[in-house]
Amino acid sequence: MTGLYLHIPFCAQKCAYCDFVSYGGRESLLPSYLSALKREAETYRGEKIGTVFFGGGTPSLMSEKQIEDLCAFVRDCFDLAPDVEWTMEANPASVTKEKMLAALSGGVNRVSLGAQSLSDDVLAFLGRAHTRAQLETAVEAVKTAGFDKWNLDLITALPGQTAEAWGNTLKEAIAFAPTHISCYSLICDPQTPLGRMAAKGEIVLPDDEQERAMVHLTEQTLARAGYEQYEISNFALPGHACRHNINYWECGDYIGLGCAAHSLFRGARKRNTPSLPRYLTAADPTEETQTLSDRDKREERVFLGLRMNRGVDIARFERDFALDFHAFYASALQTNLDRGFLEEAEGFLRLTARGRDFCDTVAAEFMETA
Amino acid sequence: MTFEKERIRNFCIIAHIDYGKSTLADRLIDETGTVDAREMHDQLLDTMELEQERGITIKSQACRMFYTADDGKEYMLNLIDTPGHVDFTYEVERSLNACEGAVLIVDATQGVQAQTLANVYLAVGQNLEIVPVINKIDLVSAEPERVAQEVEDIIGIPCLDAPRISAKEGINIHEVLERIVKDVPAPKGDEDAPLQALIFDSLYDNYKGALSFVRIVNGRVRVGDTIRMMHSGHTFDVTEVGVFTPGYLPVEELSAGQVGYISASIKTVSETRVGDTITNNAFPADAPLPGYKRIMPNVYCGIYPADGSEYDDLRDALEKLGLNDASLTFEPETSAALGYGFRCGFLGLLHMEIIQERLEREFDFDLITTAPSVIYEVHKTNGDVVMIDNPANLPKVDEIAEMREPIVKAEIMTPKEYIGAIMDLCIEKRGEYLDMRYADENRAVLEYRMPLNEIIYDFFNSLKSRTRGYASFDYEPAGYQTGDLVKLDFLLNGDPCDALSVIVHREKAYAHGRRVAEKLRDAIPRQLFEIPIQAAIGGKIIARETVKAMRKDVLAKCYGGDITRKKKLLEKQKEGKKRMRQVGTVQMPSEAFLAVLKLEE
Repeated sequence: MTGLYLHIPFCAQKCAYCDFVSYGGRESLLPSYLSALKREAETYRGEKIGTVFFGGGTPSLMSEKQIEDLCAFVRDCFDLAPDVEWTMEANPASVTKEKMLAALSGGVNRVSLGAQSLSDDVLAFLGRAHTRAQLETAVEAVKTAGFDKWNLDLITALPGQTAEAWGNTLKEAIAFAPTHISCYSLICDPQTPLGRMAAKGEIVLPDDEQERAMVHLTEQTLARAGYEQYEISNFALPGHACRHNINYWECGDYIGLGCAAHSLFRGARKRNTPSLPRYLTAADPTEETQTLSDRDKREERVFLGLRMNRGVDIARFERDFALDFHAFYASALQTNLDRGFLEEAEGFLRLTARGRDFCDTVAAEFMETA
Repeated sequence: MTFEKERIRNFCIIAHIDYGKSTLADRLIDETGTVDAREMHDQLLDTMELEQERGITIKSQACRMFYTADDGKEYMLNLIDTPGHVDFTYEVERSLNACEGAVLIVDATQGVQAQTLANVYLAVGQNLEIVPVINKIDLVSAEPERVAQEVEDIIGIPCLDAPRISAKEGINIHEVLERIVKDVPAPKGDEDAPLQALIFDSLYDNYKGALSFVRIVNGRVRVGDTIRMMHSGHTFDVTEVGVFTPGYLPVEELSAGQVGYISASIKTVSETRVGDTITNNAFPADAPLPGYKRIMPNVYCGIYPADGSEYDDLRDALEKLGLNDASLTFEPETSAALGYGFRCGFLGLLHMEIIQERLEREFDFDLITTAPSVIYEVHKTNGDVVMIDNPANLPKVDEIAEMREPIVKAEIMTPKEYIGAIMDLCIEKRGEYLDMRYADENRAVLEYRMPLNEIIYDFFNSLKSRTRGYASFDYEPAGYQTGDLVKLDFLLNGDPCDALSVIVHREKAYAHGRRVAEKLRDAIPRQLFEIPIQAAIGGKIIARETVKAMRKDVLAKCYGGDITRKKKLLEKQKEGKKRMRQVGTVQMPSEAFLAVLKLEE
């Protein structure tokens, strides 16, 4: 089933680590942006959709009215599955009970809260627009509005962060009782303010040993609390894994709408312009279209599949590509089975716990470079 | 072509490397109208890209000009541009030999510099008439009077009335030409004597084969003559003789006193060696001209393509360079770490660098080079004597009775304030003090006996940095002597890496081992296991470093928009791995091999 992603590239302010396409303090452009978004969506009118994701940026910057309106448009424009999973990302600073109710009645049934940290000091350091108190209010709003599926986004391996401090953050996060938790190790892109500070030595990032210690702590702590890891950075209570994201890793079709959005639709990957002015004015916002070769598809199937704890579906691979999986990847398989990085069970090839630390090393060995 | 010898002037230009030698040459060519303005481009004589960039001349070039002097007569001026580095001293000497005079360019802002002096003394030693000119007078900081006095004091030649010029601005170039006509003696020689032509350089031309650049000392040569190289004994039929304009201009005949080229279907430059004498096979001279030396490489290193599949291409490239460079030698060799490559021999370190750079630039190779080595003489316990230019081929320790290393006699000329610094450096480099004398009240010449293997490791750079570039340095082979030498090996995760082995003096082994181990630690990327790096002499470990095991290789996020970028990263990761060299269990990037060559901080 096809996924549908709508990008809302506006934020109250840009975070210090953010390398996404998002514009701070330009919300006044929201109305014209939403019109452009609908215009682009029209080219896909009538498509069958299994999951919807309002991502950003900060979709919760939209007003109740805009949320209602966009939801109504999505329901009208697309053929949504009866069991559609419909997520909206939200920043605690802009979440209100009213917006949550508007979203819920519009069809949204899952909320992803960008908490990132639970400490005001850390939030300020990260340049987040919200406080701990606002997060608590937001969680309350999500719950009382009636959402029974919601995610908390957290960032770990922060400069100066100790395993102990991170352990406490995890415990407090669990106490909020989200159904899903995403934990990302901080990626310091050199173009971001944090990246520049790191380059100048103003902040010191945890080394690889410390980072792994925190990641392993995450896995253990969340497992004990009943959250199953289903991808490198994603954990969920049973039955609450995010189907929209799984679709990316299983190489399903998805339609990405909006500035800088990506699609994979009917064998072609399409990238929209990251420029907001261009997106608002262009008749066709497509910047690049690439038809995937079989080799591209095979490589993506493996390297994305390996990110998931379930692994790569061998039978599906063999069916789709008419290849003997074990013969085709004999050397990469042998090397990594021997290292204890891979295991095969129930028709799936997956990383072991140790292999997850070296996901990219393993994945690179499955690339078919000439 | 006949031209009265009395109206021929053969000269070269001596200058500090960046003192505008080529600029003046261009101005002279310009002023005499030798080259059409359309064809002029800056620094006409330095043709190789590398030469232009480094500001040094590697191959000799020459140019014939006609100049009508103030006395109303027309003169033939032959300018011979000489190579400019200690590695090529022999070529310089031969080029000077082809001249009667030398224009000495002195920078009006800098005065005389050490590098210039070495060549001036060489020219004086060949009895050349020195014509000083003071250049760069257009600059505000120019002090022509002071500099002229300095030339008189230091070199001992009259200079107070030397032309004040600016080669860059074209000021007073006419005066330089007049001086050349007046001061440089006309060549001597007898057109009717048997042919004696000095080969001062040679060049491979795609159409004509190897050309001999010659100064005709006696006799004459023309198309159809059969010539003989008096030292090598090769004979050839002359297909063309000509002069440089600076392109090739065929002429009917070259005769005593003239400078030009001879083309005779010669296949490689090694058949027309610099310094050899060409004579007429039917009417030969009694003896060759003096001063011929067969120059042998004294520095060797392994050169490997970073991509092993380019081995054949590398051989083709070396063959092409060899067509034009009789001093370059190469033979196939194999290394456990680096695969198939070549053992190459060079005249010195600069020569080595130039060849490497040309391979990388003109032929577009990624290369891995091993540490340079000299040729050791190894006396084995069974009485055999073997010459070793590659540490990997050194016999086992218990088979070696004695190791002898090449020694050179080094002459370092320096302003006196750096004497202490140079003595310290020479002691560090195992130099044995021979003598010190003063060239004048400010300049000293230090003489040392030094092992050549100390000189090939950044001696030249250290000398320059410790004397702010003022010291000049030359050396000549002085035989072999016994040395307390050891082979230093490097083990990666227990496996020796042959490409890193070096032969060093025992006392230096510890410092060298430590330094290289540290460099390797930083240059080898973390791998899935811990990698001990050990420096060892025989079985004894003398230094150890560790590359810690990689702890993670995983990107935290990967959603729809990240996939293309992420895939490119993984492809690059795999590509990078493919280019690494497998040493036992360890993946070595090419840079790690290079890092150990540059040991200075």
